[in-house]
Order: sequence, then structure tokens, then C-alpha cells
Amino acid sequence: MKSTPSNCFSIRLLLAICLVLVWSGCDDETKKTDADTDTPSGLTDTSTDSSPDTTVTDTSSDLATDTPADTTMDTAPDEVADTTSTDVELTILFTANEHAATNPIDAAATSRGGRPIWSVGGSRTRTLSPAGPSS
Amino acid sequence: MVSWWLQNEDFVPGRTIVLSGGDSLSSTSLATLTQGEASVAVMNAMSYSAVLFGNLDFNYGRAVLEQRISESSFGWVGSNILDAATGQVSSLGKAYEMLEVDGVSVAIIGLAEVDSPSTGFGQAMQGLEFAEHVETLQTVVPQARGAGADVVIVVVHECVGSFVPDMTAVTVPAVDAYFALRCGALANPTDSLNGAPLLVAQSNWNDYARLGLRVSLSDGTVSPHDPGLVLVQYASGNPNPVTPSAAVQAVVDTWNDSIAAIISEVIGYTAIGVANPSWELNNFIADSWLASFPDANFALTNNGGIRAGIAPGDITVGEIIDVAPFDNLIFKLTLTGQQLTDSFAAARAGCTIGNVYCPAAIAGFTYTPSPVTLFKSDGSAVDPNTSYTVLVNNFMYFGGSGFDFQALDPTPIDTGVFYRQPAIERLRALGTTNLDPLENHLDAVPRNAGP
Repeated sequence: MKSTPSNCFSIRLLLAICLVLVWSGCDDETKKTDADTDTPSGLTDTSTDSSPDTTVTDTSSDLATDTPADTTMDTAPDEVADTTSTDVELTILFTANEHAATNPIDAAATSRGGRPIWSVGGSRTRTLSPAGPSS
Repeated sequence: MVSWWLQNEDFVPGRTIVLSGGDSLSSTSLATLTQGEASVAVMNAMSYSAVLFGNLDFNYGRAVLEQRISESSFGWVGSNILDAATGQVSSLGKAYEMLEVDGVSVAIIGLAEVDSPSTGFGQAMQGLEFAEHVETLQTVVPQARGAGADVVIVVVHECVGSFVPDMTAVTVPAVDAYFALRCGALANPTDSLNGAPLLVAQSNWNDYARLGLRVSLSDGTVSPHDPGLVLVQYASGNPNPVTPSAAVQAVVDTWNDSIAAIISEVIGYTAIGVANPSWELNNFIADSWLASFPDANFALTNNGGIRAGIAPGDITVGEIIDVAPFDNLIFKLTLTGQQLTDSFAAARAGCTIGNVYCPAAIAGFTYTPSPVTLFKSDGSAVDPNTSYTVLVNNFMYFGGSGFDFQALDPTPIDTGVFYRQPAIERLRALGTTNLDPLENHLDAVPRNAGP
């Protein structure tokens, strides 16, 4: 890293403070994470946050206080916060429950005698299959 | 299943959306003996999110169903089940179940089988109307969207082949995914319908369908990914490859213990098992009726009510309950030969072509199909003008499986005997063992070919 004149550093420091405050105000998750894990390091810890933070505050003078431990702690929470802020992943599992209860309920279902327990037969005319009425 | 999901599906109870395609309360000995209470307890423990009404969920009557609903920690959806008097969605269920997952609102719409009153216990559905699926979606999907649904999922209690043509013939509001029942051979586990993923699963929890949906909070787009059908079965006799969830297993054990003495009684033996469908099984069940009611001339029990075969080895009461799992009762009727012939012919006309066991397991007579002609066991023709004593089950009596005996004999005798009970008694009487197994006593002769 190249060195930075002290006056420029002061301006950048103020700019960094403003940007970090604005950033924290927009992102509760980031704000909470930094407060929880980086209080002793203060401003310099934000330098290892997500990409916007890094761009603004990753100056040479910060590196001295950017310990590997801080980087590790900051990275994971920020990644989660940044990703989930735009997408939510849903998982849907669908079962057809008829006949389910006497199989090994909380395990893989089984078959008996080498054939499925469920059988075909019946008379429903609207179906392509012969599943049919049951009762 | 829960353990499998935890290991393979990033299953998070309460966050992962778990749906049932209906018929959650019946068709097994445990479910039948507890009138579905055990099923609800297990599904609660498994963190189901929502279920829809299957035609068989009405098997124990309306009051019992309402009790089961009150015990459920998941929502019951009956989007097309209407109060016949008001035309509004019945208070029995909801028009849709709205789930909230990480700030995303997911509406679950459930479409019951339109023919439920004839394929289920119609008496318990009196006062209800089952609206057509397309008409229902045209009404309910906009309602759900208007209520803030970011994602709309439709679950259908129909074999996939029976409703897809209806859905593709007209304009259906856009939804994000369909789930339905797979019946018969597996053609394509994942497909699409009107641009949305269509996934199917089959009975028994032998498999489940899974689908990922990525919802963009910035623009609201819903992107499906990783659809699939996951088989979860292992060969009989092999150890369970999955260690069950202790919490769920505890619920199961409690219920199994409560009925263990009943269902574990050994009442016979078969070395090779009895397949379903088969003439051996159908004939045995129907013949057992005549053995229990020797004053009757004929017996008929709808083939759809015979749900499982018998595995090789000891035969327990529980297995026979699995074979005939419903709480149908035997009714004794007086019918003329002509009435019986006409009823049988009408029911048979509704059978799937090629299903030789449809419409019913029969005893005391055989028939030829074209035209339907009935013959007594001695080979003589059933006299159209003679009155006969005929045994049917009450499902058939009230219109099930294409029969409608109620109009022909409005004063039946309710024997109070479950339709499975004669088979249990017959097995006890035979006293089959490994030296004299059940197959020595079965009749494999088809009864659809006349005398």
C-alpha cells in the first residue's frame, strides 16, 4: 500500500465516518454485526466489511489495526446480510399421504413382500390411471 | 422422513413448507382405529404447513373431521369446497392458507376432487359443493394476490392426468407451482403446467416431491429450481437406512402401543403372500361375506375399497385392516335380479378399460361383460324377476363407485359389521399355518367370464 499524506487522511477519515454512518443506517444487519464484534477497533474495522465499505475505507493506515481476526468475524455476517437482502429461498416438500401412517413413519417408507403396499384398482373414469375410489 | 429431510433438504421446521396432497387421515390400520387422530399427531410433529381435503378425509363423518382439524397445527385448505346454501367457501376449511417465510407471503390453494361425494363418503359431504378447479382458481388466485401473496402454490387432490387437460384448455391465473397426485406408472416426475412447475408424488410416503423457489425481494420474481421426486424406500427385510427423529418416533410409538394388542394378533399364515389386485384376494373377501351371512345370495364390495395385498408370513389383524382399511359397514338389501344386473352394469360402465376387477369383488355369482349378464354359482342365470338378498357396503349403497342402491331399497338392513370383519373371521376359522397356508384355500378363478 502507498502512504497517504496526513491532511488527506483526515478528510478521508471524516468521509469514511459519514459513509459508514449512512451505510449503517441503511443496513441494520451490518450495523449490529459491527457493534457486536468490532467495538474496540472502531472505524478501522469497517474496512473489512462488504465491498462498499472496503472501497471507501481500505486505506493504508487502517491496515495496522485490521487484524485477521476482525476480518474473519466480519465476513460471514456481512455475506449473509447482503445476500438475503435481495432473495429469499423457499423449499417446498410435498407428500401424498394416503396409507402413510402405518409405514415406518419417520423413516424411509418400505414395501412388503417386494411389492408396493399401495395397489391399483378401482373405477374412476376421469383418471388416466386406475387409482380409483377408495371407500 | 423428517430425518431424511434434515439430512438432505436443509429442513427447518416451521420454515420449510411441507404440504400434504390430502387423504391424510385414513387407509391404514393405525389411522382407521384412531379415526385419524394418530395421523394428525404425527403430522403435527413433522411440522406440516398445510394440507388439503382428500375425498377420504371425510370417512369418519363431519364431526370427527372437524375434531381432527381442531387438533391440527397446520392449515386445512378447501378452496373449492363450498357451502351449498351460500356458495361461499365452507367454514370447514380455508380458501387459502397464507404462510409467512422470511418476509415472503406464500398462499397455498387446495383443490379437492370434484367427484369427492361419489368417490368418498358422500354422507359426510352433505351440504357441500365441490366447485370446478378452473373456476375456483379464477376466483381464489386473485383473492390471494390481493391479500399480499408473493407466491401462490396450488395443490390438487387428483391424479395428475385427470385435471391437467382441464387446466390447459382455458385461461388460468398464473401461479408459481402445482403439486398433485401421481397414480399408476411414473411417466415424468416433474413437468410444467401453464408455465409453472408441476410436481407429483404417490401414496405411502414412498416418495416426496421437492421444489426450490427463489423469491426476489427487489422485483418480486419467483424462480423455481431443483424440482424433483425423491424416492424414500428400501427393500423389505433390510435395515432402515435412516435413523428416525426421536421426537417423531416417540409420537408414533405412543400410538402404535395403544393399538398394538389389536393389530398384532396373528390370525393366519401365507407362504407366498396374496397380491392386490388379484382374483384370489377379491374372491376371498367377497366369499367371506357370504360365509358370515349365509342367508344372503350375493355379495359385492367395491374393488376400490380393497387397498393392499397380504405379505408372506404370519397374517395379523393389522394387515387385514390395511387390506380393507375403511369403516364401511355391510348392508343387506333385497333386490330383484334385474335391479342387480342393471346396477352392476351401470357401475361397470364407469370402470377404467382393462381393469378386470372393477367395479367390485363379488361372490355368489359370476358375469359376462357384453352385455352384462349374471349367473348364479351353479351356472344358472340370475332370474330378473326373483328377489335376492344382496350384501353391499354402505359406501356403495349411498352412491359410491357408480352404484346407487339407495333408490332401489330404501330400507336396508345395517348389519353393523365392518366390511373387513368377515375376512378376519374367515381367517380365524381356517386356522392356516405354514403346513397349510392360506393359498391352499384361495379361489383364483376369474368371475368376469361367466360360469
